[in-house]
Amino acid sequence: MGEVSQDLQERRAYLDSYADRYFELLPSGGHPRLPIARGVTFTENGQRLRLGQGLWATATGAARTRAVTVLDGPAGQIATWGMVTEAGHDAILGVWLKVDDEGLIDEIDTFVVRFNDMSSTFSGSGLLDARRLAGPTPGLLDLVDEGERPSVAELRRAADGYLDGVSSGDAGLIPVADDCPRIENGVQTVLRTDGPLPGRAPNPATAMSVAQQVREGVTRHIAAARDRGMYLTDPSRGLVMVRFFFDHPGAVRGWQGRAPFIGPNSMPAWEVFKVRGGLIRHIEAIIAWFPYGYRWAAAEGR
Amino acid sequence: MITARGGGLADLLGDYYTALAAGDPGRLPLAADVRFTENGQPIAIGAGLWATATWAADSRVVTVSEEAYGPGGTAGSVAGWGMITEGGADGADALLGVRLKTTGKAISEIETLVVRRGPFGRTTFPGRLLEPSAAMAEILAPADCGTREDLVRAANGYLDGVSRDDAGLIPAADDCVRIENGLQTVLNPGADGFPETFVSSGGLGGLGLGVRAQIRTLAFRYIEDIRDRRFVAVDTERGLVLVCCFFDHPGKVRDAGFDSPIAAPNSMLIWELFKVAGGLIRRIEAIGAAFPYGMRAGW
Repeated sequence: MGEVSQDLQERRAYLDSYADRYFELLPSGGHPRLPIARGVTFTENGQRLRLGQGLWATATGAARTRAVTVLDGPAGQIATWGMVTEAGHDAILGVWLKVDDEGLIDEIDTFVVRFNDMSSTFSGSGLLDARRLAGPTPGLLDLVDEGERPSVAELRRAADGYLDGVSSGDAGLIPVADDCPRIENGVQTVLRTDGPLPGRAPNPATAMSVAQQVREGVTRHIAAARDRGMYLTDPSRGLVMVRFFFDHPGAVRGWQGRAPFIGPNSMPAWEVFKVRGGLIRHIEAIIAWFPYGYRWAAAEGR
Repeated sequence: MITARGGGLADLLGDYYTALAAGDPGRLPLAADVRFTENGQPIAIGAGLWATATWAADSRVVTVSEEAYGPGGTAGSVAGWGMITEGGADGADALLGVRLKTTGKAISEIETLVVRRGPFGRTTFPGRLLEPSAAMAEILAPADCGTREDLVRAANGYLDGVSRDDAGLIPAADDCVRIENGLQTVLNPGADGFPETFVSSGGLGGLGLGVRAQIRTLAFRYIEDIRDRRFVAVDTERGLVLVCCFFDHPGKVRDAGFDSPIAAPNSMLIWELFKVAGGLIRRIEAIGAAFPYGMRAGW
């Protein structure tokens, strides 16, 4: 295993404590006790809200440990997600925090993935394995040996290669290992050996690898992976997180392929890639279904 | 406004649905800088429903239009809603609201609201959405007509009363009917058209009650605000006023002191058409769909 400097380790622990605090205070609506800077911005699901609104007013529980965390020490940023409860229903909460030089949070962006949500543009209840997301993802935070450790630029290139390849249908653009799992909302959606996706009809594509799905046209319904942002990187663990939208135009006139959606929609995603030796080894994502063309306020500075 | 075919604004709205079903926006007199939104999102004309719609009903449920003459020429506004299908034979029905603004002879604004979920837990849309609403189209006796300001005031009174739980603010007749996404949500003691799951949940505080009586039951406390109200077309001859607005639903707020029927926060974009005669609201027809909490309409 490689090593990281003690200074960086301390910086990471420091950032991690902010996310711990966020999840700890959430179910009691304790947002006034967060160490926030004046003028802090808060967004939930792409909308600028007052801190205290949205999930802060409705959450009734939050997990003590989170499934995925990416710490970008030099940038003073952390992005993480874990399970929460809202009015007795499971939801996934993604939180991105930016901490300033004085130790105060000056930006908060959140992504709440709700199920059986009236505003979802997906007619079903969506994928969720709450049990899998109840604790840390095994191996994700392991340090990468220095010989196989990617640079910041390589991390960004790997994430962009994946998004370019999936949205253009060109598997050659994706630097991915054949045995790379992809977990979406806690559910494995590639290389499945244990049957169909929960609540879905059998689909042979879920047994394929990431690259094979793209080669076989399984992802042809994706028109774009746009408005990419965040790009938190942690080279010592080989991690990069990107926030973006997949655009799904729906059952477009004359479309011959498989159209999983009839009406158009846009899917916000926070996606984490673990990269080692130049290849993506593991993908974790949280996703939801929003109106077609939706934009994320935090991405636009509005 | 007179279209190339010689019709008025209502015909132009019909032309929109025909062009949409053919996927051909080129049939419409679009201004070079036309703006287009679908469900609050600015997108390119030709994208969204333009790429998926395959059929449109022959008629709209409601249509309301207004023209204003100014130094820059005639500005027109027309809006309405009707059924469409997207995705062809294996596709799905949707209820589509369209608002057009014209400047001179060209369409300069297009706002659309696509309702893709059946109302109140139904899997299908009610058949009444395939027919024009005769009651809304009726021309009023001159003595019953109000001014534009009168009509806007009546609509605002309704929206204030609903969001503040104050029936006294609502100038509605006791026999005023309200239709939402094709279902009658007041004075409907038999819950006609509603699925059993909705009826048993006790939603809306009693479907058999009238508009104001429902408010008195405090059944709408879960509505936090009705914001961003835009009065987009008023027809004083028919007593019609159309408002586009958002109903904010914060969800089951921990310390609210009551149980909201809506668990997770959302904001509902609603187009609400009021028929006002003799100073009272006589009929309400509305369409709406839920969106992420805090969303804005893009206008």
